[in-house]
Amino acid sequence: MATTAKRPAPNPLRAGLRVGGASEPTVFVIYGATGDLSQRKLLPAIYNLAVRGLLPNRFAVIGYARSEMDNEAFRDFARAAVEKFSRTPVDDHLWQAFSETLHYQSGAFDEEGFRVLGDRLEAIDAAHGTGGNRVYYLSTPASFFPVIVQAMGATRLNRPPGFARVVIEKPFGHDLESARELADVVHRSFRENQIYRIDHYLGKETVQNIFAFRFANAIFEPVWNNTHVDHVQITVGESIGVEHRAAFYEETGVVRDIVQNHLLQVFALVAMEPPAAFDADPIRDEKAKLLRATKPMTIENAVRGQYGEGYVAGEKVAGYLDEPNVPPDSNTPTFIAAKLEVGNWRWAGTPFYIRAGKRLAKRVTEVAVQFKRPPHLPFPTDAVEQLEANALVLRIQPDEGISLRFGAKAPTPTLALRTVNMDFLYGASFLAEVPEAYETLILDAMRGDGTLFTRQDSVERSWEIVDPLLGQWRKGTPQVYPSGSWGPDLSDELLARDGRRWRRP
Amino acid sequence: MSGDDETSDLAAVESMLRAARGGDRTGSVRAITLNLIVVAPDADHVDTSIEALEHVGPSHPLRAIVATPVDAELRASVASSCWVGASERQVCSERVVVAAAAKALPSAVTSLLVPDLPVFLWWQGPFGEDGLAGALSRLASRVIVDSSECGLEGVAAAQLVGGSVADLAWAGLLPWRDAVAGLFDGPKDAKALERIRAVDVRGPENEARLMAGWLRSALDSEIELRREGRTHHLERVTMQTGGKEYLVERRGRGRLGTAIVPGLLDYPVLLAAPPRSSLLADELSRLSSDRLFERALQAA
Repeated sequence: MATTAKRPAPNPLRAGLRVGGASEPTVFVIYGATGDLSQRKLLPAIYNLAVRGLLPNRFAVIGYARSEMDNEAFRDFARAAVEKFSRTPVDDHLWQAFSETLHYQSGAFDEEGFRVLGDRLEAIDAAHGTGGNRVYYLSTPASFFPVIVQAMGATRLNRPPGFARVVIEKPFGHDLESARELADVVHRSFRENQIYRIDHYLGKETVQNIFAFRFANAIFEPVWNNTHVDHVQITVGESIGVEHRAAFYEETGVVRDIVQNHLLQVFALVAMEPPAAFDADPIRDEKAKLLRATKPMTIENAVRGQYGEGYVAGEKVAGYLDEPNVPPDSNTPTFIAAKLEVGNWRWAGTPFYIRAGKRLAKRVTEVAVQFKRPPHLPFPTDAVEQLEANALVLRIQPDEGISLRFGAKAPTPTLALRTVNMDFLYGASFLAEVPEAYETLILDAMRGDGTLFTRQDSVERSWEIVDPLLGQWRKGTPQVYPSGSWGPDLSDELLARDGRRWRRP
Repeated sequence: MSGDDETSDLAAVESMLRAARGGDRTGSVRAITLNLIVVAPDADHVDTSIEALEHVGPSHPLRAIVATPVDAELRASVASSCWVGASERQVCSERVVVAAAAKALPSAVTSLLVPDLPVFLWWQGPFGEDGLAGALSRLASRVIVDSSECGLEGVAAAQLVGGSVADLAWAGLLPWRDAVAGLFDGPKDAKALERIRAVDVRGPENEARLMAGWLRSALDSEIELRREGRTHHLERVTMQTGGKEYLVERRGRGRLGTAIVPGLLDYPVLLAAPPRSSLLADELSRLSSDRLFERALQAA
């Protein structure tokens, strides 16, 4: 395991500067630098951090991969990636300076290659004054994680003169056992507080806004419990199918792809207790407590579906079994609806219904908090027949914002109450450009802020919640639903059993 | 942007603004986050203020009250501007330009403030010692001036009457301060800070004094300011310690400068000179005092 690097005395001129930026000299190492993730997300995100002036003054990137390439070729590669995928256009002057920070080292993911990398890192430290501080980003297929981390330990890349942090992309295992095995391997070289498990969903501004909404507004927290909330619906809908990722999707399915990570993380933010501080450990402690109080999922409380052919946004689309590289007898679920139950004081008896799927009617992520009806309505029955209970909807994407549904008197001669929506659009108060999730998360890793990263106890508990269901679903077949619908009929029946129905996002 | 409508009746301003945003017809809602009082001493300043407000509006939906002292009867013109973002979202700001006698302006401005929202005062030109500056400063939770126009003495005067004061020239120094701090980010270089006794600055007087004030207050030591020459824009900051020279410089008006640290390769630094409107927008994001600035000003 790595030892703690002795922290140098802080630079007194830094006090009050760089609010939101990273200042400690850093070398950012990308393993798998020529891969898809690096090209689409990492290099554009790092460039945009440079545009925003948020990178440390003493900063360098080393791309590491098997392909033979020199610095110049890597800079050309990076420029092409930024031109294609960056949210801001390339500024030639800025690029000139930025590109000087980009370096490349080719090699295998083994000890020999990493020794050469270590020498290269030392040379960069000497020339650029980066002080031996390292952020290692594992942008490779998950199967390489153990190999890379072991080789880093063997070559002491985990013990540089400064700090060492390692960023790992999901999936963190494919079940509880493999998640623990991976953690054991990583923990042999890095302490838990050096490990940054990235779930890019948590880097989205609007997901972080759930924190702000819940814990910066006193008027909602008193009703955020089973006394006032009837139930909560969380929907993560995609309108696209598996596209070119059939091989990956066959291994994962909707539960591993969406539920175990993104959806349970959003659920945790909605249901957790208020943290003592907006810091990594208090927040992650509360999320872990909530997940521990959540009962594991079983087939009695879950339904699965697989999309058939149909129409999405007016276009005819193929069913899952007709997608390229999908076996004709695949039983991989592309849809799930389930009831989550939380055994704690706040939520006992108030279910959380979740649904997620591909080729649904539209792309949407939202949390709908459905409040109870008033205990007594002092109006004639015919006046309230169109009146629905209050609902608060946190829309995460698209059209980020908040809707509150409440009853109002309709302007009619006789008393009639109608349901109206009050909408707040996040973009109507702040027109500023929103950073990409990867910008936020890469910057946080450089600053050593683990708040938006997932801790191992939450990873393991998430697997404990979904593993029973995954085991039970190895056999049998999912119900086919038409593409462009909101899932199979069984999904509606799941709620109907409890006298409830899904809202239409 | 809707065209400016004029009136001499301030009571009519609210209904004119409502009409400008289509409220009488469509019932649209307003999302405004702050009040900004802008003092424009003459017609030129009114024009430049309006231009700046057009840049600030998209990030800070606000009501701007542009106050111009004149020797004439009160006149007000009203306009509303809306901007559409990448996701077709729309934000709107309101603008009221009030021209009136200096004595009448504080009451006119007071009647136009949106209730319950923070009030900022952006004072342009030399900070006045007349009653107008004091009266408007007392309405504001933060006063924004520019020491390039009013000098550091003007900033100090604004502090006396206004409490929390922001200086756009100081805000514009941020990339320079960041680059200078970056010279000493390495452990060995941080130790060199203890031996710094003087700073050489090539640039405008107010910025040179603020830079020296910042170094004195941050390092808690006597540091002599040596002027290398008076230029319109900051060009170079140099510090020597033990025969070694630490330097940040920019030639021309580009966004990039160079940092030179003994023993390291020279490296580029971002020294963007943001437009005044961007600096103003940044200051509107802050409600509390800038303690770092206050200490630097005191030591300048």
